[in-house]
Amino acid sequence: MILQSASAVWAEINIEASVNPARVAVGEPVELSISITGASSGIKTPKLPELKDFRSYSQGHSEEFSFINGKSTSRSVFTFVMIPSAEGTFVIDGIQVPIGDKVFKTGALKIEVGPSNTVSTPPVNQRGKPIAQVVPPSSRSLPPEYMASQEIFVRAWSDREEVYVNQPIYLTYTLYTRTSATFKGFEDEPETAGFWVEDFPPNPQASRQERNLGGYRYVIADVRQVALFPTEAGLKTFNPGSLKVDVEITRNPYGNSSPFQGTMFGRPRFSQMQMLTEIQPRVLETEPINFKVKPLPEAGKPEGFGGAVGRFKIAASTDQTKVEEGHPVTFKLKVTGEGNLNTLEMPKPLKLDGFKSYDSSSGLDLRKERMTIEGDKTLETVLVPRKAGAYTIPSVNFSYFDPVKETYITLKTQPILLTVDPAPAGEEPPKTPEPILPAAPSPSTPNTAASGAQDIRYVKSVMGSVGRVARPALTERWFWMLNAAVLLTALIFLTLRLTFERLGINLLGAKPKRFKGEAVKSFRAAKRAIKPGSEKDFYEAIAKGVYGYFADKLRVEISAVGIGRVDELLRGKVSEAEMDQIRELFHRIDYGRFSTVRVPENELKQLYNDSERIVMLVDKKRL
Amino acid sequence: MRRYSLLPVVFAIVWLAAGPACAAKSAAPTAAKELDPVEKFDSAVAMYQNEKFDDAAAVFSRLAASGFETPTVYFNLGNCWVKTRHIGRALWAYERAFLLDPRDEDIRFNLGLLRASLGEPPAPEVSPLLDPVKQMLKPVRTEEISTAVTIASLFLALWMLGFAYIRSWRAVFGTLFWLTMMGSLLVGGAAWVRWDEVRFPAGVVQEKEVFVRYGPAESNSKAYPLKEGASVRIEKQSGDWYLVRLANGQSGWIPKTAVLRVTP
Repeated sequence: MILQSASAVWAEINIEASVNPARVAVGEPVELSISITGASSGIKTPKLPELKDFRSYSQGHSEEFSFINGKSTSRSVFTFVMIPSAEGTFVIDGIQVPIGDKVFKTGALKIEVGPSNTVSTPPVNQRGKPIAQVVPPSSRSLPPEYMASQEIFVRAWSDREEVYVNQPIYLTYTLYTRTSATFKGFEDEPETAGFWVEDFPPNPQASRQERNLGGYRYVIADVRQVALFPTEAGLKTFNPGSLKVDVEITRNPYGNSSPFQGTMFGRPRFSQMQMLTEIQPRVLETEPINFKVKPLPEAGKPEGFGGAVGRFKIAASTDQTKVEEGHPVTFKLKVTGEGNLNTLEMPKPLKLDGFKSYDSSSGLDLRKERMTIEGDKTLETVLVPRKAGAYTIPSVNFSYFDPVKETYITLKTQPILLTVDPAPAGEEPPKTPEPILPAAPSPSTPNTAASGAQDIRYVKSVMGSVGRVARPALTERWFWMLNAAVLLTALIFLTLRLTFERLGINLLGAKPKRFKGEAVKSFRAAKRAIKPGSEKDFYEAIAKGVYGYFADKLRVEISAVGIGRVDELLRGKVSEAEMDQIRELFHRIDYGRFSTVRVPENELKQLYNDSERIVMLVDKKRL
Repeated sequence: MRRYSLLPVVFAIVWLAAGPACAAKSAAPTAAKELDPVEKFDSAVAMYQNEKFDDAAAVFSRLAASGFETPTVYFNLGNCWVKTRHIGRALWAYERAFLLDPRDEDIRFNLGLLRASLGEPPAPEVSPLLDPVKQMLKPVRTEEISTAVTIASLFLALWMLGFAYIRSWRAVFGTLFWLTMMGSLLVGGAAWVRWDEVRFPAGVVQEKEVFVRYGPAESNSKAYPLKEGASVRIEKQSGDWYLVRLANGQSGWIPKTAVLRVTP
C-alpha cells in the first residue's frame, strides 16, 4: 500500500491530505482523503484544483467528536475518488480548505499513473478494506447532466440509433437510485407501433452496480431489455414508456432544523430505528429515443428476397434417401441464425414432379440467452413418390441482408439424391398420411368409424333440414329499430291514454272536459245577469254552467245531473265537507230557479262566486 | 257510456302480424331447388366412404353453394377437407355447421378436435362474468336469441296496450308487463353478449401462412404471420384487403383471398 500525505498545522487546526494508492493504472480509482482536526465548526467542503486527465467525485464526509479526560476533540474527513484517464505523473497542489473565514491549503500530493494494462494491487482504504471499484460507466448508458441531480431516475438507452429495416435495436432500461427502491413494473408500456418487439427474460446473473455520477453514488440496475425490429424505413421516435417504483424515504420525526439533528461521537444523534420510514410510489418517466431506419438497398436485391435481415445459415435434409414407391419422405428446411426469425419468410414449400406433396409443418425455436435474438426456423414437407426412379431434390435458395456487411447474401442448400424403389408386388401402397389429431373419445353416433385414436367423427348419412348461414339479425340496424318502434308505439299509446284519462279528454272527438267552452260562456252570461230584474236569466245561466260542467266532468247527460247522481259519482273522490258544499250549491241553484222570491244582487254575486269556486275545486280532482 | 279507442288496437294487430315475420326473417328456410339434393348428398357420402375425398368435397361444396345449407352438409364437407389436409377450409366448414346447429355433439367434437390439433391458445379471458355467460349461450343459435328479443318486445307492447285500454284488467296487465320485463332483461342481456361476439363477421385463414400487414397493400410492412386455421374477426374491408382482429387484440390487414368468411 502506497500512501502519500501532506499535512499542515495552523495553531490548533491540523489538516492532513493523502492519496491511496499513489501509483495506479489508467482508469483505476485513487482515494483522496482530507482530514481536519481541531476545528469544531465552520468547515466547508474542500475545493479540488482543476485536474486535467482526472475525473473526480465526492465520496462523502464524516465527523467524529470525542471527549476524553475532560478534553474534547473533533475530526472531519472529506473523501474523494479520482480516476485518471491518461498516463503520467501528476501533482495535486494546493487543495483549498475553507474553515470559518479563513482558507487553508494542503501540501502537494503526487500520483503516478501507468498504462491501463498495468497490474496493480487493488487499493484499500485506511481501515485496510478494499475500496469499492468505481467502474467508468458506458457512455451510452450515462444520463444527461441534469438527471444526475435526481435521487432516482431511469434511463432508456439503445445500442445504436441508425439501423436498417428489420435490424434489431437493443433497448435497455437502467434504473439509477440513491435511495432504497423497488422496481414495480411499467406504468405505461412503450409504444411499439412500427416495431416488432422481442422481450428478453430477466437476467438472473445481472447484479447491481454502484457508480458515481455528479458527485453522488448511485446503485444501478438494468430492469428490462427488449429487441426492437423496425418494420419500415424513416425517422422514428420511440417512446419507451414509464416505470413504477416504490421508494423508501426515511424522515427525521423532529424535522431537519431540530436541535436533535446532527451527530454525536461520530454517530447520528438519533438512531435509524427512531426515524420514520415510508414507502412512496413513484412513476419515472423516460425520454423518447430517435432512430433513423434506413431502407434496404434496392441495388443487388435478389429475386425472391423475403425481407430477412441478420446472419443466417440454411440446411436441407430428408429423413431417408432411399424409399419405396408410395412411401413418404419428409423433407426439412432449417434456417438458423440471428435476426427476426418470427417474421422470417421461409422458402416456398417444394413441389416436385412425380411426387405428391402434403401439407408442411413449420417450427420455430427462439433463443435469447445470449441477449440476442437467434434460433432456428424449420419447414417440413411430406413427399410421396408416385413412381420408382432416381430423383434429385433441387437446391433451395434463401436470401437475406447482412446489416454488418451491408450486402445481400444468397444461400443455396445442397441438392439431395433420392432413390425410389418399386413397391413389392401385391403390396398396397400405404394410405395417405393422416392428420395428427388428439385421440378421439367413444363416438356417440352409430355410424362413426372405429378408428381408435386420432380421428374425427365420421360423416353423417342423413342430410337434415335446410337452414341458411346469414348475417345475424342481431347485428342489423333494422332489427333493433323495428323492436324499438314496436315498444315506442305502445308506449306512446299508453302515455296518451293515461294522460287523456287524467285530463278527461276523449280521443274520438267529444268535447273537452275542462272548465272551458260552454261552461265558461254560461258563467259569463250569469255574471252579466247579476243585476236587478235579471234573476231568472242569472239562475238559468248559472244552472247551465254548473250542471253542464258536472255533466261533462262525470260523463253523464246534463239531464241526469242531480245531487243524488253527483253524490253517487263523487263518493270517495271528494271529502264530506266538499260534498256538503256541492249539495248546498245545487240546492241554492234549484231554489233560485224555481222560486219566485226576489234575491238581492249581492246574494246573486255570492252564488256566482260560490259556483265558480266549487267548479274549480271539483275540476282539480281526478275522477 | 264507455268507448274504447280502436286505433291502437289496429296498430297492435299490424305489429303483431309483422313482428314474427321479421324475427324469423333470417331463419326462414329457402325453397327447394330443382336439383335433387338428397341424391347428390348420398352420392357424396358414398365417395367419402370410398376415400375419394376431393370428389366428395366438391359435391358437398356445390350443395352448400346452391342453397342446401344443412349442418350435415357442412359437417361432411369439413370431414373431407380434414382428410385432404385443408385444415383452414375444414375449420370454416365446421364453424358454419356449428352456426346452423350448435347443439350437435359431433359438430362440436370435430371442431374442438381440430382446434386442439392446431395448438390454438385459449382466447384470453375478457371478464370473469362475461365468459361463463358466453359459454352458457354457446348451444343457442343467434337466430333463436333474435326471435326471443322480438317476442319479448311484442309481448311488452301487448301488455302496455292492454293496460292502457282495458281498465278493468289493469292489475293483470301490469303484472304480466313486469314479469315480461324481467324476462326481457335476461333476453336482452343474452342478446348483448351474443351481439358482442357476432357484430364483426368471423373468418378462418385458409392459407398455410399469411403475413398481417400494417396497411391494405403489399407495399406496407409486415407485422406478424398468421397460420392456416387462425380465427379472425373481420372489422373492415378496403379493396382486396380485410382489416382483421385476433382474439388477443392484435389487428392488421390481410388479403381477402387468404380468409374464408364464416358469416357472410
